[in-house]
Amino acid sequence: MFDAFLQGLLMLFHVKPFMYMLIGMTIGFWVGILPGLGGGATLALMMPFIYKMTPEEAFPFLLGMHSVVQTTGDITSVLFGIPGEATTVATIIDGYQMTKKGEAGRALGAALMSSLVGAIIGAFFLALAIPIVRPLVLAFGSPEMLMITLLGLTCIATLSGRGKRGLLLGLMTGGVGFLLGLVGQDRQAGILRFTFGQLYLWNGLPIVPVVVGLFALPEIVDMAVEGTSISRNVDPNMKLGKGVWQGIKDTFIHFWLTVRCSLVGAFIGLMPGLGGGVAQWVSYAHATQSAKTAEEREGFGKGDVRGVLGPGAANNSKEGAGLIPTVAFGIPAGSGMAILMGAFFLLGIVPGPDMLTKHLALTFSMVWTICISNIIVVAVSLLFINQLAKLTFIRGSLLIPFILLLVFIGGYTANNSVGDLIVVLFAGALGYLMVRFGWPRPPFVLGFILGDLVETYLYISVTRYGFDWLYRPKVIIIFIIAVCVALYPFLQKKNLLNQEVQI
Amino acid sequence: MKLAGKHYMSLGLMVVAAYMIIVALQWPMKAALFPLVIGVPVFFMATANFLLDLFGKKDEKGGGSQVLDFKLSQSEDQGQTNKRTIEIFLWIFGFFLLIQLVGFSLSIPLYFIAYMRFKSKETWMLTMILAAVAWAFFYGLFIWLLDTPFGDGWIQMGLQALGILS
Repeated sequence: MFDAFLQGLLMLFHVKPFMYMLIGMTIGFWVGILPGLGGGATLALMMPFIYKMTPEEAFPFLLGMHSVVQTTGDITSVLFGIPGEATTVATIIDGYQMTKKGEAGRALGAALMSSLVGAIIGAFFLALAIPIVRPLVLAFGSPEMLMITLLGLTCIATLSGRGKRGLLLGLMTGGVGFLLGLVGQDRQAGILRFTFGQLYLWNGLPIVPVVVGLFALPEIVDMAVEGTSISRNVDPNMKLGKGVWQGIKDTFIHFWLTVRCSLVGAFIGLMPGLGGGVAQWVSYAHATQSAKTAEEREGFGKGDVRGVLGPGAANNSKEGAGLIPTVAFGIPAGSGMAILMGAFFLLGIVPGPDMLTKHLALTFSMVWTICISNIIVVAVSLLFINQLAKLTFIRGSLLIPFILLLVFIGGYTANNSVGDLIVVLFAGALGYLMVRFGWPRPPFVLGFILGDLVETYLYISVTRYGFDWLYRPKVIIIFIIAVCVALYPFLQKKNLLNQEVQI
Repeated sequence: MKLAGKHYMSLGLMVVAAYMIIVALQWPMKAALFPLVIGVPVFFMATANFLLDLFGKKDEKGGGSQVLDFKLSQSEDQGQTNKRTIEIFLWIFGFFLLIQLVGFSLSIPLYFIAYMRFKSKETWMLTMILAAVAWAFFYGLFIWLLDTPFGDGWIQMGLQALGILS
């Protein structure tokens, strides 16, 4: 195990993987700062670039990008009150207030340093979880893996929306993803399913054009509709560097708070479907609880540095922890991880037991990638803090054609066919309608990507055990957990009603 | 009773799921098992969603579910928002058409010039610089470095067929 841990580090320090990590980090650095483009969408855009890479090169590239997006996303949240990422919204509450009070440097120092601490804790959470998770995964057969996958879908469906309607919409869009994944030649009987006589569809709908269209096009449309520059009403000459050192010191003054919030983020990141959106708010709530008096608590929301440290740490620590279910069980912890899982399949790797045996060094190299890329990005951000601020003044209208270019080329490289472009347009329109009418996209992506795998698990289970697989103890336990997860919104509503009655 | 966009979304899904179930029933069990296991619940969920949108309590009509996903910006002027949305979709589709007509290599500078000048109203200087940067990025990364094959557009193919272009 320790050998694989070191091998993972050495693997990363080969010339090509390290170069790819630096390129990925550079992209993630910009994406985090520019609010117009999300980390998930960019991860999807980067997928076509990994076709010719080995897994040892592709994961440093993708994870190097993905793991620093939250770190630099905090910069935009603090400076302009605009979330660089959806997962950095909570940082705005106190971070932006500090900027208004003239403490932008201190807030940035605190956000960046707590992000680094969070990322390192999340990465080691992943490393420590591997020996615990490994025997569990190896004890599972096809029926259990099928139920685990359905449990993951239920988690994501439940938590992609609140309330009963959220559950219904989540499960429904997950099902739509599975249905779309049916297109192509069936593996078991060789039947052509929903190909409409098109040769292009024989191999099924390609992952990259679907994911790129679904995530990137709605954001482009929204950016065009907004039609403004990223940072409005902000003085471009504002100096930000002052107080950075104090912010760094704040992280260590409130070190245990930072560690606790990192652990909160890691635990939430571990659970499929919760993701950074939840992690940041729970850790913010925990940070406010750290106030000892009522007066102290009132300071939150008005520029308390602890309100920056909590979410800053949590939205980074959840990234490393989110890899645990993704790598070990093939259940992505969120939409970003679902897209990353698409990369596993593109590279010919199946998440699950192999990642903890045959590819263990590769799994550990992911831990190292998260740590090292965050250390480099925080150092660079602290060095160029004033220059960074100027980047957010780029007009959206200048970004749109560049992003669109990446969307079309990215989609096209899946099969080098015009069909890929049509799939991009189709997925983009579907993605826009889903966003517009409040249908969650993460369960859809999960269903689409996992469709093949779930069908194979179902087929093997039925062929090998008939319907007896339904009575296996582990299957029953996982099924009960899935039912509890599905019932969660109902219990949540009942609790809320009880609370309202008490008030 | 007036139907809105969200109703048509659910109706559309009901039709698609029903079609998939009917088609799957004609296949051997090996191929039909999974489509049926998924298609039937999806049909019923889409029906439930449609009915809840139509007859559910006010808080259940879409607004009750707060979906945790990217959200479109809210604007007071819905007419303007719709106009801009249609406009950008046309620009996106226009890029696709241009790629079809003249291929990637030519469509990139042409699209950048058209978008920057006529949509964004940028200066000629900035337009030309960005168009050149975009083309250099495309050529340098995808053709020179990654050696990705990009096909010709319909116009080049037509000219080749006529013997005008070699």
